[in-house]
Amino acid sequence: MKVKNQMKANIIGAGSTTFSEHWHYGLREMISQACSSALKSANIGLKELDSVFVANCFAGTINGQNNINALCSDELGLQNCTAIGGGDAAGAYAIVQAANAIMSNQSKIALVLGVEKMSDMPITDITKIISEVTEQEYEASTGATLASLYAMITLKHMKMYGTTEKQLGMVSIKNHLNAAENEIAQFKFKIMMEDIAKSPMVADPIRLLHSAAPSDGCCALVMCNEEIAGKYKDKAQIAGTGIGADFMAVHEREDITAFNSVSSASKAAFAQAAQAGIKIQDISFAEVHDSFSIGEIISIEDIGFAKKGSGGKFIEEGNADLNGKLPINPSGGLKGCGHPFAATGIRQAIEVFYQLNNKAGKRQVKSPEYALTENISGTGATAVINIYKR
Amino acid sequence: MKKIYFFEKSIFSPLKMHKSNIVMAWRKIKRGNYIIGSKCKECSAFFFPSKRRCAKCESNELEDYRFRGKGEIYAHSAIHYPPEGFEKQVPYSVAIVKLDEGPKIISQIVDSGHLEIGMKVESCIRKVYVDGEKGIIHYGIKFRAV
Amino acid sequence: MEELGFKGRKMAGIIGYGVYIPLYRIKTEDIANVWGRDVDVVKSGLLINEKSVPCIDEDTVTMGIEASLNAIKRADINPEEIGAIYSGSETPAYAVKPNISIISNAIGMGPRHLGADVEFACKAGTAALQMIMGLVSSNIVKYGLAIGADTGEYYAENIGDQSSSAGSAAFILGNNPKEIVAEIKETLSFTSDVPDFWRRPQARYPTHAEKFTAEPAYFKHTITATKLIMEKAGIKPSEVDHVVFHTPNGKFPLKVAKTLGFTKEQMKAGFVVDKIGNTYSAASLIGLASVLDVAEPGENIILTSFGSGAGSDAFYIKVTDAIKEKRDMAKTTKYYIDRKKYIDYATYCKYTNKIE
Repeated sequence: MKVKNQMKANIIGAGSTTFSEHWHYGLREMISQACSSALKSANIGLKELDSVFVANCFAGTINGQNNINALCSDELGLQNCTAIGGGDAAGAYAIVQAANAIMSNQSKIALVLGVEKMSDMPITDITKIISEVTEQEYEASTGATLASLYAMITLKHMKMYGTTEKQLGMVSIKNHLNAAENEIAQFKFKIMMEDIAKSPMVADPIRLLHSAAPSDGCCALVMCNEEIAGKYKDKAQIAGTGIGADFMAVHEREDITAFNSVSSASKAAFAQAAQAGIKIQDISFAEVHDSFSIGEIISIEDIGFAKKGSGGKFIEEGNADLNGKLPINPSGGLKGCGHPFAATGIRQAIEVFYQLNNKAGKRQVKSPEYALTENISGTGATAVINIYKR
Repeated sequence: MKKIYFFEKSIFSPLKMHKSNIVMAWRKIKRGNYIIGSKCKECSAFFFPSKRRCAKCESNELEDYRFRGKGEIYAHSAIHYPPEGFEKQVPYSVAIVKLDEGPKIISQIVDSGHLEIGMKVESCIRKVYVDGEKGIIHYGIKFRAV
Repeated sequence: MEELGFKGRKMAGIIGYGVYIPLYRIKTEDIANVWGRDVDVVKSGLLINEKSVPCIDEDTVTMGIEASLNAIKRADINPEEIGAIYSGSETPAYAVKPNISIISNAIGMGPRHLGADVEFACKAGTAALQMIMGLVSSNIVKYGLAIGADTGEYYAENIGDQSSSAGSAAFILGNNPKEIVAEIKETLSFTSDVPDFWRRPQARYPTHAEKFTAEPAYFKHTITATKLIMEKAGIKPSEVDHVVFHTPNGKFPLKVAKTLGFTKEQMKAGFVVDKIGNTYSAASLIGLASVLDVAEPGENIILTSFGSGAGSDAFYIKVTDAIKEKRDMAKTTKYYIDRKKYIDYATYCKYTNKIE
């Protein structure tokens, strides 16, 4: 669908809490922190916002707080607030909803945030709650965890394509290296291959250091229409969006190593981006959903950056490194930053905003022009891909 | 003197007092703890779980089909970090089993030692989840090596 | 009041049977060593070498289902035709909610059937069998299913934990002579009020009155009931081909046999306690199944169970020609006895929930 240029949605400001175990902060404190930071970066006041979109996944279960948009309105003192769900893809879904509101002229300046507070409960309870993003009746009820589903996908990928433990490890190592240069990241330390091999087994063959940790965090963006964005030096424009879906239960998929949701979303996003003349080879870097190391490898393949089965080789050859052909997760990804479920999609967009405007400090990608974010829910039941330009 | 233990529990760990969704559990029991899916009357394609539309030939004529419960392991993983309620079984294995009729199902594997892709398995009924001391016992399908 | 027998009623007989014994075993010495017991003394006192252990996700419901499915295979009938189901156990899954409602649903009996759970310590299984006999021989139902199942539990520090094990047996009875593989020609029970072994509702494990359970309980009831059934059947010990007694350990049944004049040969086919331990309500029924796996047509069997509290059920059974074609239609008792995997004491505690 063709839209006139001034109707495109733009990011003009971003702010975030750090990702951590924020024992002292609840949902409200994190929301206020991230939002005031985002407004400051866009140099606008609260009163100039005409709508708020808040992404959240687990506040109802973990914090006993449903009706999260009401909480957000209350905390910020703003009227028009909508809550967006969608598992761990909620962040990207919220961006798409805001963009739609902007493009249809229902909103001029919107605040888009994702908030998650996951440290309030012990690990076995969290493991059970996290499986809410998988299929409940036939998957989670058997005692299968999100990690075990990704573990079986990993096992199959290794058997079918020869993906190695080394390649899986290199994903984690790279992302930790990048995260060391990211102020908001939770895991700012380097890791080595031996550390990964020594880390406890979560679900064979996935180890703790192959897995992104659930975290607390809130990320916020200020988005606006083309007219307002014209007054800003730093901005990022959404050039294409794609939303895809697949069978929710992994066992219902013909080939469990393929995320059909990602390939569909990629196709749709690039179809839109083609109107701005953007092709997949033009992408300078990408933020993808590495909830587990295999997630990054399969994402690289199914977005279309590498042939099916050669995602591991892509990593091993250094293409995804910060100074590689196509940096993947320059922010540190989910593994390096931590994974507050609904905030992740927003964090990816924040990284794009910084990178495209040369504000990424020591992890700056060289002269990036076009960027791609890929946000997945659960084991790839849904995927949201956004393509950005400056 | 008995402590007011119940009260403490409900304030500080709401999830531990969470009762299973009894009605959801009962809907599963109604299927009789069998592997019940669908068979397309038009093109004989098999589906699990049950479907209302045939993905192969688009027909709406599907009937309930009870799978024989025999198959082989398609993928497997031993879980060391369990969800709440499964802590005492750690480590336990889950697997995607490819049933002889074609569709796949996910389930725990029991009584089987070392697992390999391709291993032949058959279904059995075991306890899947026990809701504490006061809640109900959820029985379900697991698989074991033949 | 004495039971009246089958005058004017149809003969109830076994048309299908099956057992289930869990995969896991723990050796007697692996328990004895933890508690500093002399292994030789324990082994010679109990005559048990190893016992079966249920996996953490098994219980009398799951075991009852497995045994029933084997019985249905041998009976070669549609489970919907089974008109009654009784399950005897002292370790049912719930204190209130019967095993049979879960089992009957899982094995495909449909909703139209009689049934309830039965309790009489270790003779609950044979009590269930007698109830089914009544319904089948009076033709109230065409087929009936009796189950004996237990996951025997005991205080970890008590010697009783050396023998208490897990298993189940299921018997389907019918009254069509063409289908019967073993006729149950006579049955009687001998019961009195003896507090030899009991469990109050709030206690997790039962209490054993030690030596008192031998002479005034097990021996008195088992011997009396056996004498009475042989009198009723009009046979002498030497005319019995196979005899099966309840097995709280290996020593007691052998002692009863000696007292009554039975030989070790007559005991052999049904004696499995040395390999699987005391499966409580399933014990004498698994012994019976073990005999049926090898018995020749025309041979007879005396079965006397014992349940603490206390009572004995005795049966006089005659094997028919039909046994030969039925017995290989499902896994044999020997298959389950030989199918085993040894575990250590820590795993044993994990599987039997002894670790809080």
